[in-house]
Amino acid sequence: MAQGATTYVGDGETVRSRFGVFAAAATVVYIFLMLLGEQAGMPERLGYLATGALVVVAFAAPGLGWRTGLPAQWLHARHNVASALVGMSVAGCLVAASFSFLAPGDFFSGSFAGPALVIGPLTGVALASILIAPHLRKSGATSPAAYFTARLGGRVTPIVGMGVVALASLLMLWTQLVVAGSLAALYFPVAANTASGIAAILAILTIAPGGLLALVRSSALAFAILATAFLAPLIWIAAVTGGLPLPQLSYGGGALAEIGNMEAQLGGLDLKPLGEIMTQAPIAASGPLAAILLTLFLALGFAAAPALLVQFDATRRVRTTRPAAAWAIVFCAAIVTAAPAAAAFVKLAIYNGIFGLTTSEIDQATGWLLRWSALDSPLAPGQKLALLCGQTVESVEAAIAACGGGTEHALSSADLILRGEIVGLAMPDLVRLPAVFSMVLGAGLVATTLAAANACAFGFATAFSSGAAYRAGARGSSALWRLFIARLMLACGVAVAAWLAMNHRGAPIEPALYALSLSVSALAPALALAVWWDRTSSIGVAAGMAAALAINTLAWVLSTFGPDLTAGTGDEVALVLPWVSELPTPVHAALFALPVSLALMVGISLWLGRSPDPDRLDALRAPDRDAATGDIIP
Amino acid sequence: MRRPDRWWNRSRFSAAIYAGLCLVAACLAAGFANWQGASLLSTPAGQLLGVGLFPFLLALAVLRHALRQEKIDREEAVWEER
Repeated sequence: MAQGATTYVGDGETVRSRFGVFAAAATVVYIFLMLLGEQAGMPERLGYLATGALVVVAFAAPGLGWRTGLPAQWLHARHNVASALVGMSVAGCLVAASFSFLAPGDFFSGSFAGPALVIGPLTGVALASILIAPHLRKSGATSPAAYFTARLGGRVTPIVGMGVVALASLLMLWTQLVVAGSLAALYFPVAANTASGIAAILAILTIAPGGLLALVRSSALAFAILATAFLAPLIWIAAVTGGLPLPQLSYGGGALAEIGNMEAQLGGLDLKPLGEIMTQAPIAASGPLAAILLTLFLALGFAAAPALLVQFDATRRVRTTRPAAAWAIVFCAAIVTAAPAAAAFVKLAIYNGIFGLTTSEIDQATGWLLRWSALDSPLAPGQKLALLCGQTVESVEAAIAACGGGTEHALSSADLILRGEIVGLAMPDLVRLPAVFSMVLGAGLVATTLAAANACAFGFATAFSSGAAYRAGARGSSALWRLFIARLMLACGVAVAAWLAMNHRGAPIEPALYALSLSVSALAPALALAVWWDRTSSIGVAAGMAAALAINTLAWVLSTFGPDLTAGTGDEVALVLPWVSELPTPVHAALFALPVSLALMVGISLWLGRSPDPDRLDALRAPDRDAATGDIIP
Repeated sequence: MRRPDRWWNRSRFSAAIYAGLCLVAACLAAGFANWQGASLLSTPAGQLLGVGLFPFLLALAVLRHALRQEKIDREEAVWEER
């Protein structure tokens, strides 16, 4: 490992760091080509079809291009990936896994969840880089499950750890496959269920042959597409509206004054401003306390998320895991901190579009309504993204009929009902940019969601390969056997998640939040204690993780079936915590489970009072030695 | 031979300080941004302080921790050489 790092310093670093820049440049060129095609009369549907097909090719290619039969390459990418590329890959997965497309809508409506969605995941990466990731990398463990095996030993803990890591990865994978399918159905001519199936096949096609390197490259590619597609229009609009052409810093400064003037006029007419016509967001927080708890939930959840931690294993050295995390924070921040600017530009465009418009002219200035009103939210199936006069409108005639039949009905903000998701998902259409921007934004959103699905699939597979198989005797310790187990479990895990995604799409965000709850309450305390506290005992960690799993299961049963075991009777856990009742149930579950699991881990460890095996601890904690020179590599 | 506690304690102290700082900063940023409440969209200064600066400070904290940890590891290497 150390030899590989020494040999390839230099050319490898340069080439790999440029990969993301090439992908971003290719996206810009693609946008220009499609704009030319649009001017030349190319049908819009053909553009969407071509963009969707490109996403499929972009994800299948890395796996087939970097296919390998070498365990060190598949499981660890030979520890030879530049930290900037790992950072870009982590950022790609993080923006999808944290549902960052909700953030512009939250800023649009002034919801308390917006800052939590920006701050929480970024803090999670920082905590992972400080507390966990370098030590996993140092110990040689790809997955947290392997770290439990190496650090704590015993018979029960590796099995419980493997189970929790696998379950958290599977739940997150389920959500990502559902959301990938629903997002693809929004932009491209494909049914949501079929798209979820294609996403599952792509996860196998990418990860099974190429392993960690294919995961990192495809995620970095997805990030580059999304960053270009989301930021290019915002930079353009910021420059045109006279503000600073850096949306992350200007926050829609050019648009805010105009919005203020319009809302003052609306107040005079006794009409609601646009921010108040949004329906409840899928992740809501109604006060500062709830927002801070949601921020901490997301931070701890992503700090110990197996899908993110496995990617740090690709870094060249132990010490480069930390700069990789810093890159991930910067890349992710580049997208999420532009959310307020996106919200401001969208709000101004909607005000400009509807003021003085009648229903018979609706296709002229607010044509987006006719397209997006027909579409469901990817996070709330059955809920339309936009309604006019309380109804779905797909044509001018339908709009006239919905608002009372008069062709001269003057539209106002009171006629619109919008879901928060539409601000992030339909931003190019809402600000009236050419269709190609919507195509590429759709490609970026679908691609990052696929990247997150790939990371979850890899996290699931490595949990089994490095957990149980690691301890399964002489045959189990063979690297080739571990690779076989990983590939087999990858196929099994993706198949199960695909079945769940295609048959249970009702509440897509819930499995992901339960996965984060498991990370918060079981994995984060277990990993932090195992890394940082000498006396952490194997049984204590096993008991704590099992208790967290039990409490999460109980919360799911209670909130799904209620005490009377009738589905849909509501979140009983919320009754116990009325001051944060609007937070999602898995956050409540984590609030109960984290103190219990932490108390069990610490209490049992203190009670047993066993001294640690110093040689084992030193072997895990000590910096690597360069195989060629014998020098310590921090 | 067992590694001396000094190195280990210093690493642990450094990581605890930086992790604690990250969590406190996250709470302050979330609290500040939410204190701005529904006026978030109309107060760029509030957004800049509550959300915009936060990621950059976080990335700096991670890099600062990386440098500190590297220094500790280097001193450990010197100890090993002896």
